[in-house]
Amino acid sequence: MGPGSPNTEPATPPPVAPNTEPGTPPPVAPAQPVTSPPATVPPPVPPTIVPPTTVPVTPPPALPTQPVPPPPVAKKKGHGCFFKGCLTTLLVLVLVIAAVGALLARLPQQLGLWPSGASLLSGTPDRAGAAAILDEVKADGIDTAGMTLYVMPVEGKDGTLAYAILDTSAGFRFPTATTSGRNPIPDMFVRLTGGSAATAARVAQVAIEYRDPAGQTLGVLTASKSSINDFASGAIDETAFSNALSGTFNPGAALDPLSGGSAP
Amino acid sequence: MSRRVLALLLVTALAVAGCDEDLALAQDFIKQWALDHAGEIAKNQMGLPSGDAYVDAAVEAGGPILQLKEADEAMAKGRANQDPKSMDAALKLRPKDWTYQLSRADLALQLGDMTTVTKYWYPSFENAPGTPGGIEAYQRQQGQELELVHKRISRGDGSITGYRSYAQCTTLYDQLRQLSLKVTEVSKPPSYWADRRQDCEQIPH
Repeated sequence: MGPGSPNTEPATPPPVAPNTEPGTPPPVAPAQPVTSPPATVPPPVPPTIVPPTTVPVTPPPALPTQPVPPPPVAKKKGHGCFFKGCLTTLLVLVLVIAAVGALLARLPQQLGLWPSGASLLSGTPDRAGAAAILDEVKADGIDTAGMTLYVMPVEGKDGTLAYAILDTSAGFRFPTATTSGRNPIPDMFVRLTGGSAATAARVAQVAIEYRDPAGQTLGVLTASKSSINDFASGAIDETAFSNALSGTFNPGAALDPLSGGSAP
Repeated sequence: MSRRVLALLLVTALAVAGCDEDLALAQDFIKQWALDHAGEIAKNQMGLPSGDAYVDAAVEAGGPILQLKEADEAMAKGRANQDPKSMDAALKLRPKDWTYQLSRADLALQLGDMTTVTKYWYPSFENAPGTPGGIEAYQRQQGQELELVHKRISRGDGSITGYRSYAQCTTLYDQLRQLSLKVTEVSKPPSYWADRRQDCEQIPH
């Protein structure tokens, strides 16, 4: 019952303290009043009904109370280490997937945190330079059908990137291996940078995108002109040149039997 | 006769086999390289910077190259059809390409749109390489395009009927006179363009 609630109970007589021996601790007041019959029974008092008042009643000051021991709580059955471990693993997995997804979607590049291909290659391509290089390659006895070459300035660099697409689905054929004794891919790197046109176009990096007979890109390999020169002069062998390469690879094209590929 | 046919078939078969062999060699080289550099490839596929702008540009070139191809096609269509919309589409894809900017400015001059001439002419010059080769390439393209503009709008020497404004006429012939001193793409001598410049004075201004 709250402090402001109307008193609807009849007044009960005060309890009579029982006789206690001196020296004995006083008995603890019982929670319920003892209903021993009083010596003299007062006349019955009609119950007084206190009308509800609208005057706010201030709560009584908090009495110092003894610390109450917490009620015994029934032990909840925990989820266990297995559950927590699963949850943590799931969370980490989600974070990893989100991070990889953001990287694949080129989010850092879009936010300008890392340089993007679009920003690095936003300059005007050197179309005349590319045509001159292709002319030299053709003069070297190579059929340039199915071969596209772009010479593009790289933002913040003095040199250019020569990007060649060798599309076998569009009719590109490598020159026979016996003419140079080199593998067709490293050989093409040498041929693209060997002439004076590449020097005139300030080619500093060469990339070769190889497209298989199905037209799928199998990979993009790139090498600096200095490593190509080293390979061409014999300063490094094919293995060392391969290790100097960078690029990307499309395993889907490698596994596609229609593209003439097979698992590596 | 049958021997000749057999020999021809043999040579053809050897040539085809040779091509296939080269193709296989090339593919094997790429696959072996991929096996040996799987970690680096994974890093590149995710676009992590290598620290070398050339390598990053090469690895990330696929998208820009596709965009360049699309833009080149739109610009070729715009040049062939004298279509400013196609040119604008190309410029939207590659806004810093000075060859596009110059072509758009030259077409605007042909159409008498002097505001667009100003909008694209100066940036095209600023974006063109300052090397001797770059300046020459710029002047050659401008010479070719402006002479084409002259052929399209001139109704004959001494006539001013094809021009939309005094500014259009004088800008065209001032440029052609200067370019004729520098590049061979402009077929007529400076004196010819000076005379055409004089014709512009008939236009009210």
